Amino acid sequence: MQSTGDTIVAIATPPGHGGVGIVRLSGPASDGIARTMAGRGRAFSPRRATKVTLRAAALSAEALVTYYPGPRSYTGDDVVEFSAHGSPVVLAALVEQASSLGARLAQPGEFTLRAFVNGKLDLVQAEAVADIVDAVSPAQARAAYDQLDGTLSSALATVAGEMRELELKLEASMDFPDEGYHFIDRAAVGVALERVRSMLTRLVETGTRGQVVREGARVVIAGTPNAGKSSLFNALAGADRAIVAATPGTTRDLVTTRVVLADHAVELVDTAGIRDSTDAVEQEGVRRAGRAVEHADVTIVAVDSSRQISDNDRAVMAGAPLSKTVVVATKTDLPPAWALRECGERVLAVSTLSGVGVDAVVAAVAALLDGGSGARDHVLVTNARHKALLAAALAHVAHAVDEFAAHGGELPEEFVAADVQQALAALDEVTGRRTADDLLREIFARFCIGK
Amino acid sequence: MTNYDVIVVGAGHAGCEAAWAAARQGSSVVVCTLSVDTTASMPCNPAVGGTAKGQLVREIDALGGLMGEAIDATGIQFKVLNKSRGPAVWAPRAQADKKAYGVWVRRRLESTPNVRFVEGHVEQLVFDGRRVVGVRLIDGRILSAKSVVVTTGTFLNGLVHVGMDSRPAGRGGEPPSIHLGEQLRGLGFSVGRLKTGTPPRLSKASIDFEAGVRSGVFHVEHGDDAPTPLSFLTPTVRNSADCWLLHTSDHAHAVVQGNVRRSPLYNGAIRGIGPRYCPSFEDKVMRFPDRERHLLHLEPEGADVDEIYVNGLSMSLPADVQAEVIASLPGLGAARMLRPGYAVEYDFVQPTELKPTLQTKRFDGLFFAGQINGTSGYEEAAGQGLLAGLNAGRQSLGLPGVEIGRDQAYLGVMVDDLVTQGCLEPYRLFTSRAEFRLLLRADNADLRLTELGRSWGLVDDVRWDHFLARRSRLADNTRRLQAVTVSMPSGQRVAAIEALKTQSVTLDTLKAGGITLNTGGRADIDATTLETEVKYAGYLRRQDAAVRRLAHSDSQRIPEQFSYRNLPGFSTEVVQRLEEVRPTTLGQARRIPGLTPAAVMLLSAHLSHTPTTAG
Repeated sequence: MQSTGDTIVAIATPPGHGGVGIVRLSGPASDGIARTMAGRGRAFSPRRATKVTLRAAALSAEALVTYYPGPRSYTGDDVVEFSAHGSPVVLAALVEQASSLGARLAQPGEFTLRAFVNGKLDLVQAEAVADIVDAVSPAQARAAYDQLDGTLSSALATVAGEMRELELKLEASMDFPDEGYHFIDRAAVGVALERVRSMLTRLVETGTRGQVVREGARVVIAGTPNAGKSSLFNALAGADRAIVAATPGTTRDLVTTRVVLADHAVELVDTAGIRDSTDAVEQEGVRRAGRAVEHADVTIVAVDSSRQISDNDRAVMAGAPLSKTVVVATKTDLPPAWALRECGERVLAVSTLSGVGVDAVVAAVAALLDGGSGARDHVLVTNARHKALLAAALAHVAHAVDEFAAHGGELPEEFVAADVQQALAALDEVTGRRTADDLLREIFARFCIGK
Repeated sequence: MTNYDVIVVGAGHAGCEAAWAAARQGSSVVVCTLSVDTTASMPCNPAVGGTAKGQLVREIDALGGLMGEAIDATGIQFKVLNKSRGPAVWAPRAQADKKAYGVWVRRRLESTPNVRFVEGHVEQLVFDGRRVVGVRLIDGRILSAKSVVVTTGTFLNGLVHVGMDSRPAGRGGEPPSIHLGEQLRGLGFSVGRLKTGTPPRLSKASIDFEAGVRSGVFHVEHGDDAPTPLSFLTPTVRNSADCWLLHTSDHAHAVVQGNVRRSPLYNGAIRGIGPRYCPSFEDKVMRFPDRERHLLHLEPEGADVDEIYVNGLSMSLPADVQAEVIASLPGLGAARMLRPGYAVEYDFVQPTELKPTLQTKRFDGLFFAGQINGTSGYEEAAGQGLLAGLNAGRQSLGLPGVEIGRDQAYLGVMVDDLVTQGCLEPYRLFTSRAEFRLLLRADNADLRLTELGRSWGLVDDVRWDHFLARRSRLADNTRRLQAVTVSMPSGQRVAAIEALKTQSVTLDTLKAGGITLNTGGRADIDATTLETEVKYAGYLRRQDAAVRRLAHSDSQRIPEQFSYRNLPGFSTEVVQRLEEVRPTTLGQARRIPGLTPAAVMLLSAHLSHTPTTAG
């Protein structure tokens, strides 16, 4: 099999005590080292857990050993995994013993790098591994698993395939003029370019939602002073974090926390009460609140149901775009001063005192984050690097479409081909077929040891 | 024993350019050839140039080489191919008078005081340790030199096939080089086998062209109305011959199908790999049964020669079958076959054995150029010959070798492809091989290369003065277009140079509108350059930017003795590829097939001695 020369070892589970800890070996000596440590002459049967007693310096440890001969392993090398008690002392001793038998300590991300070098993963998939490890919300993990599964890779391959087909025909026309015919006519060039543009546009558009999934959405709670924003914030965050007091203007700055709301990683932001103020510190807080609403993925507007709706309330509601806003009537445990209908159709009644209505707010926020349709799109561009490169590819194709149209379809083939090639180069950079080495270095530096 | 600076083995297109380039720098050169009469001969098609090749001929010319001037002096029909496409792929091409071409090149070399021809069969290269010091001829003579350029073409263990008959031969009826081939194998060079072929030749007098045209089976192909020279030095050229186009028939296809067992290509006699882009007629018929007909061109082999080359009909079937195929073609029922086509198998050395200077990695002073490196085509051979001769000359003068980049010339693209990827089939240039195609145009070859050629001692004063004049004309004309305003259809007045950017405006419309340009010298090439650089300025800028982005990795040198063994993280396969190619820069490493971006990243990390945090 193809081998990456030396054998590396690392603890694959998080640092600290745990029920189970895993030590992973990858490289040609993995099997030999494992057998020596287990005091065993026979080979391990592939892909089956074998119970052994491992000897490492002064201690001996019960463990399960699983041997994955390459290339059918995570890295493509021969891989051995020890599954032992999750004590840092035991795991460190196993690593040390493996090192003394010739294994080298793995560097961050080196297992995944080997998988990439051995062609087991493309770059998009390798990045997905890091995302799965980092995922805090189910939606993030799901998007990352889809990516590892090759969903994005195959969507990219489809677009790249279309482009290569077009490139091929343009090149054939230019290089074999003796054949006496065009391999592709002008109209077909225009159609192909348009098709590629719309495919790329769709992918780039999923990027906005994908980035929300990956980076976490910003959910901002806005409202007039003392409308119950901070109580709502605490109810959603499940902790007393913001200052709650009945004096208007208590929350002078933005208070944020990271929570998971219905599968979504969310940065929850509490804003200062929005009103005209003369206090300089408070004015600054109000200014920041306005900016927070502008950059929010979803805004929750809190309106006190026990007071009459003021002009300030109306101004806050007007300032938040309807498509990304949830209006909440707060303090519904108090006698109502207005009927919910007065604030429009989709007002949710909440009492943070009793907890009634909080789940409905979570569901409404999640529905907006899901993009309203409820249908989950499998292909999701979640990574800023991917999004930037796809946008670059789209720009090249759009340039070709525009120039082609500007020349009434008479733009010479080599110029169309020049844009198509640059777009392809950008796509190839996404999957790592072609890429700058410092970029790769950056990508792999993000991995934790053992992955 | 006689001492020279440079010995050139072979006097084909590679050998002649090599001898000329070495001599231009002042080196004493000897050219060893079996027969001076076959100097710069054209054993296959009677033409120079075409797609990508035409650009390459312009480059050879811009660097002071022979090919452009030779074809201009002896061409009989000139045509720019791809004229319906854009300026970057316009490709000058000319039909040659084969005999006149060879004589022209031979005279040029013979009239060069520091070039000598020696007729003889080179049997062995002579070495002193790891450097070549000369050659031994089969008659025992020894010539010694500081460097040797080997350009053996198809002669290295050449085996010619016509039908079931095969005989050792380099070309037509000339003897092959057996000993030299054996010596190279013995020295450890990685040697492979390729195949190429040529079509039958017909007697011109036996073909009734007028009848063929009248009945519609032949279509006359004239040269361009304003024929374009291939050399920047030639003011004008003239068309003096026509070609004819025809299509094959069902009947001809049936003859091939009925006799294909008698083709050495189909009975297992030929093992060498032929070019996919130039299939034999047997292959066209057998592999593409859906195509009812194939295109053929009848091309004269010279101005006053009774010989017609049937372009598109290369065959290695027995002579009687070839005659039957010809008799079955429309309009050729009475045509007489002068010589049958044949296939030739020959040895080549994997070009990954070479540095980008075309010097072998194994031996100092030893250079290879042309078909021995796995290429096909006169132009490809000539380009390599020029570079190998240039560097052989520099070596003999104690100067460091020079390289040409992929962003500078098709010549650079070709050499980089060869030394980085090796050859699996005969290599020819295509414009699609050049990632910076928009910059590598036929019209601007001099602007890209003549200064370099001058600095290397290849460009004489005449060419240099031509070049300086052209460059100042271009600058002057650009200034004129900036200074004058014209009114657009919208009524708005804009600088002429801005107007030229719109699709409907050309230099001709501007001139018709009263704008005068400086038109000394070659007005046609000047106009193409000016118009292209104005009209497509955006595209050219983008490609320039791409060149600069890549420049960094191409400037990161890898030490010649760098050890790839024991580097952590590399698979054995990757180490093997790296040791075979021994890339000179990180950029070249990136282009090695099978080398993943991850491997290149690791290599970069090892080179910079930074601990690979990337790991």
